[in-house]
Amino acid sequence: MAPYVILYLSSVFIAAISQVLLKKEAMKPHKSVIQEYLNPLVVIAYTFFLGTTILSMLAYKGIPLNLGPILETTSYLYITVFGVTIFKEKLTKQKTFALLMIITGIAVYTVGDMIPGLNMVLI
Amino acid sequence: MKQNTIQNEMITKSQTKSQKVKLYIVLHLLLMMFSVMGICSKTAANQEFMSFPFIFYYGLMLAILAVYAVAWQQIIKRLPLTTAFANKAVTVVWGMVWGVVAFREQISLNKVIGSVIIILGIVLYSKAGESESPQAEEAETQLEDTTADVRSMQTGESEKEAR
Repeated sequence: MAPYVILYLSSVFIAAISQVLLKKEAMKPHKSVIQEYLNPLVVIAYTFFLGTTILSMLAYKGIPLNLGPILETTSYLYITVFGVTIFKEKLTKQKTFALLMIITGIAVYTVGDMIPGLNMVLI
Repeated sequence: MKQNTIQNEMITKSQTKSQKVKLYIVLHLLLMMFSVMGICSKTAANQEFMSFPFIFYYGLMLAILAVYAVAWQQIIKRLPLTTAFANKAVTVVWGMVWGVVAFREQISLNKVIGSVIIILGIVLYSKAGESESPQAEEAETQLEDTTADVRSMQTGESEKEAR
């Protein structure tokens, strides 16, 4: 299952990169609406995005459906890192705590399966 | 005249509230639709590559994604981005529901606890962004503007009635 998890995580990471590309392009001034959409950066971003749909689909060959949206939440982590490093956004204590909560939740959700008592099947 | 104004304000308030409720219902229907994409994706993954069912499910997934992208843009025009993102946490629950319903997946105690922690984390993250993001304020202002438009339209109508 691990390679499929890595595949899904890569898909989320690439989707985050495509968001950065879109944001970078959105910050530039454009002469027309066509130029706003038909420029190399936006085209690359959408190609990346299309690629992520294929990657996540391939990952679903080896991971349960319920794990997908959980792994998807790692995007908050990537977006924050990109926001701080590239766009010089502030990282508040509240945001850091929220990210730690998300990571803890993912750990409980995945690794918790191996802990007796905690892995009690409900449904 | 005063009574009319009070009545109009009450009507406007209830309309604004019902507008918000409608928006939230649309948002959650949209998020449910977004989560269905996972079912299509996993079903496509279980098919032979480029077979008819594969193309059908993958195509359906892309179609849902396209509708979602357009509708999401409309939602964030009317709701603060942070609120919309906080509500997006519900897709974690939908993932578990569809997993059980469509693929007979098992849900254990750690998954329920884990997802609750994640959802609280996302809500907290969005709330943290709320105080920083000018976009959130912008969307709030837009909603207030819409309300003001409705209010002025009603005032105009009531003035006409009074004349």
